[in-house]
Amino acid sequence: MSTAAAESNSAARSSAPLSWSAWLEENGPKLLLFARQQTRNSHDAEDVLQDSLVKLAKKVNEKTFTGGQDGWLPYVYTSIRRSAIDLGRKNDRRGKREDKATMEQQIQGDTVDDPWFGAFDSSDELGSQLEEALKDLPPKFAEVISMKIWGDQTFAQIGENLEISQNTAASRYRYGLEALKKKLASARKRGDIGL
Amino acid sequence: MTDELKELEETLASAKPAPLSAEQLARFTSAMENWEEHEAKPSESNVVPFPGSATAEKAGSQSGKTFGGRAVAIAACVALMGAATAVWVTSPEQETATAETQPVTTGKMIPPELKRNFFNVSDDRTFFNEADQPMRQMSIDYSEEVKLQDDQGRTIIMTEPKRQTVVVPIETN
Repeated sequence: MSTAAAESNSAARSSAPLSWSAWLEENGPKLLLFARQQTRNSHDAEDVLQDSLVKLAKKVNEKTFTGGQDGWLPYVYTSIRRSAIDLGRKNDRRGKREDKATMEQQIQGDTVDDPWFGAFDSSDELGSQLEEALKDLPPKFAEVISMKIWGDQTFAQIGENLEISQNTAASRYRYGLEALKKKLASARKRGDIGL
Repeated sequence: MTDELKELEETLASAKPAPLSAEQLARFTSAMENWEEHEAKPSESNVVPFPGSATAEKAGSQSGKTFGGRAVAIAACVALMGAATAVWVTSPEQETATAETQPVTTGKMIPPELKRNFFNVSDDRTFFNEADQPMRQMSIDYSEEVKLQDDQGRTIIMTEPKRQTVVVPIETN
């Protein structure tokens, strides 16, 4: 690493604690959206996101984070996915002892209390329709769409995160969009959204 | 990609993920600023600290538990040396003394036999502690078997698998 690059990274790290809030304001919504897709409910999503943010903060403060601030977002995406997998395994074990009806009620309640999207320019209904369509999509398609469209990640970064090739990531994105189009088509026919 | 999909892509891009609430933003920011408080700590309940280490002193000063402290750590090291083949059975004298000094008042059960079977010792890893002292972490797998007899002469055997982790310093020149 060149001296200039090292100094640049060093400056980013030393100023990092002061910029957490601004960075979160910009990137928090897209990360929380991804966490919601990866988990079963809003509470789990927030837990997983917070856990990932703490890991990032630790690495940055201990100066063990490789790269500058541009690397934070891909790192947190990867961390969210891993934490969600771990949490999913724990919940699977615990879930066997829980009442299924209670869990379904909790998931339905999430849609009302914690919408995934803010108001659309074109239609307020589109957000909830899109949320439902994304929930119905196979997760392997939904996660690629989320990272590509709302996370501004490249297919190379998505591939690295999901441990797949970038061609596979691109294929999943295309198939995911096609599936999403079909799911939204019924809403369009009903006149709920104006796609 | 077809024009139709490109149009859908643009429509989706116009959707903005719901912004963080003020409470969420404050909570996440606080967690990042105070990451040390929020960091998940690995469980160390089954690690026996070596005497003289910071962990051992901390454990000793904080509690009077059976595990932790100099005596247990030394016992663990001694057990480690002969663990591969050792089978330890309490002596009859010891059992008698236990029964006499600590009579069981409920259930009328007397523990006539305690057996500890060691079946594996593994060298887990080596690492440097905070004082840059190289340390070796080893695990001992064993089972404890307690044989009891109730007042009707029926024998009850209880077996519990256990794992003990021991951390010992590595001597260097």
